Amino acid sequence: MATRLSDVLRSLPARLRLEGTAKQSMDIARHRLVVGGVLFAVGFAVVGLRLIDVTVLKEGHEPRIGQSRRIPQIEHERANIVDRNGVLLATSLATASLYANPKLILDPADAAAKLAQALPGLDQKTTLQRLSSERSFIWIKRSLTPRQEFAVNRLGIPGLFFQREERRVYPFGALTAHLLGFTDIDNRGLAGAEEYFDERLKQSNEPLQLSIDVRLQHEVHQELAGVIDEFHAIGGAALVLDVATNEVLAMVSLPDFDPNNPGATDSDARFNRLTLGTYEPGSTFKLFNVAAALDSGTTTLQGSYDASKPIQIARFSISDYEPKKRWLSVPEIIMYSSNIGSAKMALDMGRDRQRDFLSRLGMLKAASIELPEIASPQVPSPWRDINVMTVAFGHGIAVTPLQLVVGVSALVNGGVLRPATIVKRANGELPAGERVISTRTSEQVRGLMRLVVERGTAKFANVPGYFVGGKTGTAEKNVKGRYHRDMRVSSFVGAFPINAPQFVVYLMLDEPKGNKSTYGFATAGWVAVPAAGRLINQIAALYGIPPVDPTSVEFRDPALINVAVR
Amino acid sequence: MIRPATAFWIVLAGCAGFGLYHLKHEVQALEDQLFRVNRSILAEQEAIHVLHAEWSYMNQPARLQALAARHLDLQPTKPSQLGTLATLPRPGGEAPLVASAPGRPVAAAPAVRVTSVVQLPPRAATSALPAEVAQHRLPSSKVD
Repeated sequence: MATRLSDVLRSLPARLRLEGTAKQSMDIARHRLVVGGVLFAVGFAVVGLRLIDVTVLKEGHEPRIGQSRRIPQIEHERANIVDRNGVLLATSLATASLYANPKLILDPADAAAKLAQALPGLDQKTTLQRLSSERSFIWIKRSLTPRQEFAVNRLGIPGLFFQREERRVYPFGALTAHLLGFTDIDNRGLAGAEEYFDERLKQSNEPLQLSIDVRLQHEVHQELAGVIDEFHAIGGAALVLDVATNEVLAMVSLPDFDPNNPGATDSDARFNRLTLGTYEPGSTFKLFNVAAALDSGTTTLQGSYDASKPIQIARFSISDYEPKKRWLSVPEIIMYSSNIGSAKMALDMGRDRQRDFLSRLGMLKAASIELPEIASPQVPSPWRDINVMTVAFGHGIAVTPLQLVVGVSALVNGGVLRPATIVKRANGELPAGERVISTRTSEQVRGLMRLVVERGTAKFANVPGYFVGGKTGTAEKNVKGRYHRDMRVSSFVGAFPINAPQFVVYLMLDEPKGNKSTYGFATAGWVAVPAAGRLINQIAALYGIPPVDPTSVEFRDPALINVAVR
Repeated sequence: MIRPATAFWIVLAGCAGFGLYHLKHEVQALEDQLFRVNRSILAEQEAIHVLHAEWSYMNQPARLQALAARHLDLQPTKPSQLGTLATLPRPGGEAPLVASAPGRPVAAAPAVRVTSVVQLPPRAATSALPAEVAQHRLPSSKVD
């Protein structure tokens, strides 16, 4: 093109020929034109080539698969909580909350009157006051129903707005109250698992799977409520533990509350007796005493102690509830629940062994479970001989029922202590635990527990076909330093099938009163044990555990000891 | 007078312009549709979520129990109704593998091998304990 241009110029008529400076500037202009032209030509060529590249060479056809954007997912403020079978226990539902900008409200009096009519329960006077304020944001009402939302919209008052909010909903209501806890209106966990897992629930939308089984929870709740009603107790608690994993399968504390409306309840109802209440366990503690004595070798199942008369120490007297007034063998001491025998057994063992054993069993410090409501036990200090004796039969020490149940679970599972959990463990995942007694001692303790149910104080818990073993405990309540004969805590802790325990069941009644059917007795054997027996029946039916024939050869399990006195 | 080449380019440009316009509107319509579909997906998810909560609510064991009691002729399962395959009678009239058939009251059977708890005489000392170890249970009257 440049040569052609110069050709053209050269072929121009002679009269246009320029000489000197004019010719020089003409040449400069020509060169500049050439340079510009070349630059543009290169530019267009690049654009053209790129066009060919992207339209013909690279993606010369329509995309075969539509490139979809990510399918939207609803994000919730808090994750769901489900039970071990995936049943929804807690969820967040969207609601509309009404707020106002008072600066935009034209006629506060009119608006307040209309709102009070549309939203029953709204106080017209305070609303008017707030609408007339100088602020630019006030809540009118949180969590409106769709009907109320429509009614407010129909009023057509300028300056009113809706905010999408989430509200925590517990479909099972009071059934899981203490376990789940509740949240406040701003979705902050205030109790139970909601509080303990607050961060986890906010951060991940994955549901949190707990270890409880809501069906069993219901059975336990119903049984406990029934027995509390029957004996006019002021409260009660029940716990079912899976022995293999120490997962909590059911956890009920009564009275309870509706977590959907936690504000309407008093603090007594919110009190979780299993983890926050400390009680003198009474005779159930004798299991730990005998386990410690057997494991340390200071006594054997063939040993015996003189329980012929009460022990007098200082100004105290230790006597038996149903005195036998004779020597008792170690199995008999457990079977008849002898305080005297247990105290002497503990003295034989000594203070240090006793304290060390209880410490290893986790009785001297707060239990570990995924709940914020955890109480520390009350332990004797200093630990004198009198304490050694009373602790042997579960007095002068107060522990939470949870600690007790976890300890019993360790006694019956072969002797390994593991913390209880309310979160479902993944298959095969099991913390190592800590050995507290030998396998042999565990077998012996199981034999003793079986003995108690078969011939001792817990006969009502004998469910044919399922070898239940357990121990009753009746403790008089200590109110302001005095024990009251008519204020008792009656409890039963049992395990079944006792030859290879799968479940530990605990049931406790707070201040039960005897009635005609119990001949006026309110001791554990009369009030707590029958209920526990029914519960065990239901657990077996729920999990489809077939009953075993005790006479069958294969059931003669070596776990069952020969409880004979030599 | 427009030259044929010019006319050709004008027509071509016009067609391209129209095509582009048409395509743009089509894309916009699809975008709108996608937006609406996404919105309804979210609404459906919300609805499913509410239904899940309602499902849980309706399945409260207490409610199901009341309904079952009212409408069904069912009783709570008893342990004696449970069995395993091994407890079924085998064909040919042989005895079942395990002695306890579901119908048979297991209660009647003697319980575990807790052999005996011998009562000690009131003044007995440890050394003077009877050596007797019964192989079978003593009559229950002795211990009760």
